[in-house]
Amino acid sequence: MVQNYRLDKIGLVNREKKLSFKFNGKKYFGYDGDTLASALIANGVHLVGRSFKYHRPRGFFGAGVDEPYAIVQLYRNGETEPNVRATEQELFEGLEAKSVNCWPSVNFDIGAINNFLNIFLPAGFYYKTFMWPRSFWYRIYEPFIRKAAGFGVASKEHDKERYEHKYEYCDLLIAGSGPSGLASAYAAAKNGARVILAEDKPRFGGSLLTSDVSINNQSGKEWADNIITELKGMTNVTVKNRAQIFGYYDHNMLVMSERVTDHLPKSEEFTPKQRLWYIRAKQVVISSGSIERPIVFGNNDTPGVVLASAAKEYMKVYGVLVGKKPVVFTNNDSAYETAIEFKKNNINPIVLDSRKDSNSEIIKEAKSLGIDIKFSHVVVAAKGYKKVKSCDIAEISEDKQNLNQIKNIECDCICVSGFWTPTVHLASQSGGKTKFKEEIDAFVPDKSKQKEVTLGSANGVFTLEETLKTSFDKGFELSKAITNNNNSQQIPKVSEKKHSKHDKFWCVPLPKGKKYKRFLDFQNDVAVSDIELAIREGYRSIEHVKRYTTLGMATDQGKTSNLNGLQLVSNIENKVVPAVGHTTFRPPYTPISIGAIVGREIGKHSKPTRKSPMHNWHEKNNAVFVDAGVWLRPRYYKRGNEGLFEASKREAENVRKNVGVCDVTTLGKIDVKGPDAAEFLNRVYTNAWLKLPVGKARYGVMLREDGIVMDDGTTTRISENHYHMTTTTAQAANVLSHLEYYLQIVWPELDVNVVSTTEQWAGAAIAGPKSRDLLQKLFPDTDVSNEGLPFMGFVEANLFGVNARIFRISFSGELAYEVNVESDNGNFMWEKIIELGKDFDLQPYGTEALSTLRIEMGHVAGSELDGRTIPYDTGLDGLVSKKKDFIGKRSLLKKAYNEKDRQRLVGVVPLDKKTSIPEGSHLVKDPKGKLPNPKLGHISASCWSVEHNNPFSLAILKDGKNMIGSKLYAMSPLKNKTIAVEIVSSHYVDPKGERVRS
Amino acid sequence: MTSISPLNSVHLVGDHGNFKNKNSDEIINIKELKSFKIFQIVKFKKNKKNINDYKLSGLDFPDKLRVSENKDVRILWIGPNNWLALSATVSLSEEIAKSLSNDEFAITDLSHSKAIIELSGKNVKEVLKKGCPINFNDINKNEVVNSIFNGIAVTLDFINDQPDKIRVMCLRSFGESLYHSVTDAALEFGYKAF
Repeated sequence: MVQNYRLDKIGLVNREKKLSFKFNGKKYFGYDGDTLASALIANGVHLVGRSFKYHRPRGFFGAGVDEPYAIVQLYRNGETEPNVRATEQELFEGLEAKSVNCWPSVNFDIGAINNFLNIFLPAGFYYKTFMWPRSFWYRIYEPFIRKAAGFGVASKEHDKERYEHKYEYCDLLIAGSGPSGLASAYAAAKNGARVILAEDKPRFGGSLLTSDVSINNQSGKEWADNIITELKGMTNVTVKNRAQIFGYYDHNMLVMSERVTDHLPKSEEFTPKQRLWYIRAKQVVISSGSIERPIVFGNNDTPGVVLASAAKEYMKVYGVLVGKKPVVFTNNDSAYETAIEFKKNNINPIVLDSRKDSNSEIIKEAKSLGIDIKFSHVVVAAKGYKKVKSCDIAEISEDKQNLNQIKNIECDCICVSGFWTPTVHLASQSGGKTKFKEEIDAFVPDKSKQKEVTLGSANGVFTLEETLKTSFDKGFELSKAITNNNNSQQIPKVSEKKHSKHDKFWCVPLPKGKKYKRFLDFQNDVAVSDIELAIREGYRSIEHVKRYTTLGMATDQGKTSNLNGLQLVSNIENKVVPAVGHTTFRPPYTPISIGAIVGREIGKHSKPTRKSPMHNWHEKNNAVFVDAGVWLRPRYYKRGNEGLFEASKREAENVRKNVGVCDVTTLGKIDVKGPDAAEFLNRVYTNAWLKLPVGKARYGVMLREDGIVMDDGTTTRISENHYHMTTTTAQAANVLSHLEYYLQIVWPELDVNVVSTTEQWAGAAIAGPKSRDLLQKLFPDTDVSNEGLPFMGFVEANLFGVNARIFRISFSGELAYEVNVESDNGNFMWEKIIELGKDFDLQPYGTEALSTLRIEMGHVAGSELDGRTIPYDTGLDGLVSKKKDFIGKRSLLKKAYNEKDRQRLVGVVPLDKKTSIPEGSHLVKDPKGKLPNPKLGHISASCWSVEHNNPFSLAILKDGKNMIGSKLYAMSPLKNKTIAVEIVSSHYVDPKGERVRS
Repeated sequence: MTSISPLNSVHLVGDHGNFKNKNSDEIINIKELKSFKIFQIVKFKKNKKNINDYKLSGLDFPDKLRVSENKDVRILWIGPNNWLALSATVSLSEEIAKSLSNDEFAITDLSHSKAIIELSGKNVKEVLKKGCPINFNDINKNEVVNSIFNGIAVTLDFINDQPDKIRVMCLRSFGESLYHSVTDAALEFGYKAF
C-alpha cells in the first residue's frame, strides 16, 4: 500500500521498521516513531471522527496534546480504551482504533442530521428542552442523551493491566523538555541539584525538533539530543519521556502520569502500563511551552484545517504532508516556517497574511523561495464536507471589518496560525494568578504563589536567545539556593530568525448573507453564534458563559479555544480581555486513565486486613468471617448445612450447657505503666482505681468530655505500677489516642506510659459451666478453684511450657476465663484448648454466639454504647463515683442527663415468643398512630435466647425501668414489620449474676 | 512446635515476578525476620538523669531518627524519650535488666507484636516508593522512620545502603496485608523470598 502523503527521507521515524495497524477495520502501515495521527495522514486518511453535537466530519487539527477532536477508541492486547488522542498515541504493531461518535460509520453517520437541525440545537438547548412531558425524562430523554454523549465507550471488562503509583522527591521538577526545560535542567543538574525532567512526548526537545535555529553551531535537535544524553548520564537527574505533569497541588506536590508501555503492543507481565508519580519538589520550573491558536473563519472545523505548527511538525518529525495544495493563513511570522518547509519539500503553498505588510527576515526568505504571499488577505470559509477542497478568500480592510471581493481558490488543506498562547495551566493550578500581556494577546503567569517559576514560551517569551539565557540563569539560581554550589554554565550562542510583530486579528467577519459556522471550541462544538447567544441571554461572567455553552470544558480544557472565546466576549461586551478574565484551569491537563489514578489492583487488599494468630485454624475449621473494623473475626463455625442462625444457636447453647472457646485476640490491650498509673486510671474511668490490689481486675467505664460513654472494659493490676487495660475491638485505637492526648496535653505532670499490646497477646475466652474443669487440665500446676482464682482474679501460669496469663472475667455471663499467651504461641494455645476441651464437649464459638450470650445477660456493647448514651441510660450508673473527679463528670450534671423519664436499658420479648425483632425497630404505643408516630425508644440488639428458646432484644426506652411489664409495639418500616412486645428486665438470664462467681 | 511466626503462611520461598535474566543484585531479596526480641523502652518524665548516662549492650540511646547498632542489638529512636531495642541473638530482657530499672523506664516486651520483613537489593527503595510517601533520597544507613505503606503503619529501619537493606516492621496482625502489598510491589523488579 502506498503512503501518498509520506515524504521521502525527512522526519525522525524509523523507516527500517514498518508497523501494520487497523483503523475502522481497514489495514494500513506506518513506521516506528509514528503516531496514529501521522500514520493515518501518511495513508491519506483525513476523516477520523464526528463532532460532539452536530456530528460534523472531523480530521486532525494539532499534532499533540492540543488536538481537540482526533479522538479514537483504541484496542490493544484485548483491552479497549476510549478518549485516546490519535496525535498522542504512538503507533505499534497490531494497533487497532476506531472512530467515535458516529453510527454506522464515520463516512456515513446518521447523527449528522444534527448538523442540518443545528438551528434547533443552539447553546444551552438542553436547558430549555426535555421539560415535557415530565415522565419522558427518565424513560426517554436521559437514556438517549447518555447514549449520545461522550467520546468512546469505557470497557466493562476487567482491566488486566497493572498500574503503579510512586512517591518521589526532588530539588527541581521541570515540566517540559523544550529549550527552557533543557536549559534550566542542565544548569541545575550541573550545579548539583536533584532534578526530574518530564516530557510528555516520546521525543525530547519540544520546539527545537522543528525550529530552524542553531545553538553553538548545532541544529536545535542536535543540541537537545546532546543535552539529554548528558543529563541521562548524571546520577542526580531523572529524565522521563512519555510523562506528563498534569496536576499542581498544594505544598509543591505535582502529579505526573508516565505512560510506561502504552506505546507497545502489550505490557510485559508484572510491568505497569502506566505509573502515577506523586512528586514533591523544592522548586518547580514550568516549561510547558505554548499552543498555537487558530484564527476563526467559516467552516474552520472542516477536515484539512490544521494548525500551521502541526503541519510543520508532521513534515519535520514524521515526514508526512497534511496536504499537497496548502493554504497557509496567518497573522504572524511563525507560520512562514511551515510555508518554507512545504516549499523545501517541493510543495507550493499560498500564504494569506492578515497583516498589511511585513518585511522580516523569514518573510524575505519565503519571498526569495518564490512563495506566493498575499498580504491583507484572509480565509473567509473552508469549502468541502469531509475534506477541504477549496477555500473562499478575500482581501480584508485595514480595520478588519470588511471583506472585499471573495474568490475561491483550490486547496486541500488550510494551515492556520493566530499566534501563540502560553500554556499556563500548571502555573494557574499552583494557585498563582495570571496577567494579560498585550504584546502577545494572551495571559502569562503573574506572581507565583508556590515555589515555581514559568520560563520560555509558557511565560510569553518567544525568542530562543532570551529563553535560553533566562532558563540557564534560573536553573543555576534555583539550584544554588538549594545546593549552595556555584557551578554555573556558559550560555550557548544562538542563531535564530527575528520575527516581526503579529497582527491582533483573530476572527474573520461573516460575509453578508452567509451563515457559516465559525467554531471556537472544536471539541464541544461551540461556535461564535453560541457565545453571542449566551451573552444575549444575559450571561456575563465568563464562568457562566463557559458552563452555558461548554466552551473550554471537558478533556480539551480550552487549549485552542479559550483565548478566542475571551476575545469574542470582550468584543461583544466592549471590554478589554483582562476585564473578561478567564475560567479556572483544572487538573488533569489531559485525560488520565482511571487505572492510573487507582493504581495497582490489589483486590481484597484495597484496605488492610488484620488477622489473629489463630486465623488459619479458623479458616481450616469452616469459620465464616465477619469484618470487625479491619479485623477478620469468626462469626460462626459452619457445620453441615447450618446457616448463621442454626450455627450461632448451637454454639451459644453449648456455652450455656458445656463450654466454648472464642478468639478474643482482637480486643484492645493497652499496657499502662508508671508511678502515676493508678492516679491516671482513676481520672480516666468513672469508678475508683486507687485501691485495686495487684492480681485483681476491675470493670471500668470511660466517658468522653461530654459525658457520653466512650468505651468499657476490664483493667488488671499486674504489678504495683503496671496495669493491663482491655478495650472493645472497635475502640482500641481511639482509646489509646484518648489516653495519649490526656497524658501529653492535659496532664503532662503524670508520669505514665501507655502502649498498645493488642498484638503481643493472643486471647481465648473459655466460657461455660465446664470451663473451670477444662482450665484445670490446661494448667494442672495452677490453682484455678474459686478460691485460688476468684471472679475478677488474675494469675500467671504455664501452659505446657508456654507462659500464659489467666484472667477470670466474663462477657458471656457464664463462669469464664480469658487466657492470653504471646502471639507466636497463640495457635498452640488454641489447639491445646480444642484438644483438651473434647472431654468437656467444647465447641468454638464466633461473634454471633458471643452477641447472643451477652444480650440475654443484659451486658452492654457497641450497639448500646453507640455514642449517644450516658452511664445512666445503659445501667452503668452504679459505676459512676460521686466522690472523685473523672473525665466527663461535669457534663453528667447537665439537665437533660438528669431528666426523670430519661431513656434506660430494658429487655424486650415478643408477645408471640416467636417473631424476632429487627434491630433498629422503633418502640411505639400505638402502631396505627398518626405520623410522626411518637418514638419511645429503639431496639439496640436482638438475639434468639438460647436459655428461654424465644427471641429477646435489648432496647433503650424512655423511662425504661418504669415501663417494665408494659405492652408496646416494635415497628420496623425497613422490614415492614409491626410486632407486639412486652418490656422486661434487661437481665433475661441469671439476673443475680451468680454464674460468673460460681 | 509451639511458635508460629506472623508471616508463616504467606512467605513462600522461591523466585517471583520479573526475576528471569536478572543478576541477584537487580532483584529484591525478601525474608521474614522471626523470633526477634523487641522491647519498647520509654524514659519516665520524672527520671531526671541524662539519657547519655545509660547504655544498653554497650550502645548509646540514639538521637532522633537515628539507630545505634552492634552485631547483636539495634536500638531505634521512635519518638521523644522512646526507643525500640531489637535483637535476634542476645537475651534482651537480661541485657535490659542489667542496665535499666523499671522505676526509671517503662519497659514493655513487644517481641510478638511485630511482623518484620527485610528487603535488600538495589531496587528496594523503588519498591517502597510505591506505597510509602517519605523522601527516601535523604535517608541513610542507620536511620529510622515511622511512616505508612499502602495505608499500613510501618517502621522502616535502614540497615545498609550499599546495597540498600531495609527492615519494614508493622503490627503483627497487619503482617499478611503488608507482605502482600510489598511483594506485589516487588513483582516488577522480581524478588527472591528466602
